[in-house]
Amino acid sequence: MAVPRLEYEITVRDESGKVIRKIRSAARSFVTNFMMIIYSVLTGYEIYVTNTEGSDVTIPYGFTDVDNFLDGSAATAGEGDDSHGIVVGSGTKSVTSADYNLESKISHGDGDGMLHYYETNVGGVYDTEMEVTRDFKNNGSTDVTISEVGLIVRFVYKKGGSPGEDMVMIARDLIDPPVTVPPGGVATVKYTLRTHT
Amino acid sequence: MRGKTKTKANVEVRYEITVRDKSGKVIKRVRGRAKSFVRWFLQYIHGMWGTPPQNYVSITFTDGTSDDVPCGYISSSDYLKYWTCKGEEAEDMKGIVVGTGTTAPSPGDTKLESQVPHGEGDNQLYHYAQDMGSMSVSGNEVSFTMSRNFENRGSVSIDIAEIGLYALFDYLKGGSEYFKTALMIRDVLPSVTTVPAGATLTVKYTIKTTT
Repeated sequence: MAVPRLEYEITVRDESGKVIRKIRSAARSFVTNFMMIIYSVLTGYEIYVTNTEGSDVTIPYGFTDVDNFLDGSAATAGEGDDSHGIVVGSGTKSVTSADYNLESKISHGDGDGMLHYYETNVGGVYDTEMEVTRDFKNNGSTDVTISEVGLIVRFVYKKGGSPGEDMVMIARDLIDPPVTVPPGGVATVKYTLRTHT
Repeated sequence: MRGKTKTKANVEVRYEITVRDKSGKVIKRVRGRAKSFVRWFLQYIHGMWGTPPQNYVSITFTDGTSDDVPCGYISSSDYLKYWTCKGEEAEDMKGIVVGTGTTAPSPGDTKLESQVPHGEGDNQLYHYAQDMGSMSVSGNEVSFTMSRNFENRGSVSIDIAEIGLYALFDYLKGGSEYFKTALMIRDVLPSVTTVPAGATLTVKYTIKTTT
């Protein structure tokens, strides 16, 4: 048995669907934001995190009153939405606990140097593990190289009577060596969280 | 081409158990790595990551009942008020708890096998308020520690074999408020720790990530 363990898997398929690269690794990626959320979950205190814009924010936890409550949080993201869910980038800077965003995110899009973001799916809990996956398709005409991946959770809340929303990155991993997605190719990134092995 | 990179996982949970006799002298100290987050912890994380802002998380509680708990604010009659693992003094239904059970943990555990209740009689332990500590950041290590004291005010020794963490859910559903307890972590100790009469047991959990 084990403590919570995060793993990632990246599969690259060419235009024909053939797997041309597959890597798996135990992620060493939970950053301070993740711990701040766990701390709030365990204590019931407000959530003190740094959002993806680099601003320190305080998010209500639970329900205090009709003007101050956490509406919800999710890593699920729709097609074309690169603000949260699994995100990929071309940054190579070492991961630090203070990271709050990817170093250089590859934007959603269908041109060169971009990737088409499909929806982020969060599977159910199967006994002791859950999976989060997302496909990224290169609809451009040149290779796109992925060297970092991250997981961003969207928090929606009401504070002081005003609605609020923050994107909070909880994990970032460097992919070394990087993976290349050829034109027409698809990269599938999967994070698996396990609590027992 | 296929490849596999090996790196170390970066979440670590450790426990430390200290027994002090009546005079305050340390008579036993055990340290170990906690290994036993149970299914309900993962269910809650799933609720935080995986659902749209308005949804429910299926939890089985320590009393054996199950419910779909609102994860967030759904409506004025259905929402999560709070969820906490911070135990208060004289309370044994949330926070760090201890027991005498020896059955190996399983992911589906819903409570300690045999919890030692709060109290001042024989085979009971006086539960003090839990200290939740604060977040500590040192380089790329981020950690926090929570600890709780248990005093044996009875006249006989108590053998502790299991430790765990209970979470209290306070939520509204259908306009009714519920207070329910669920198990998050359970570990069976490698050997029994005896708490003599008059002695105090301290259980400390440290959760740490290293990037």
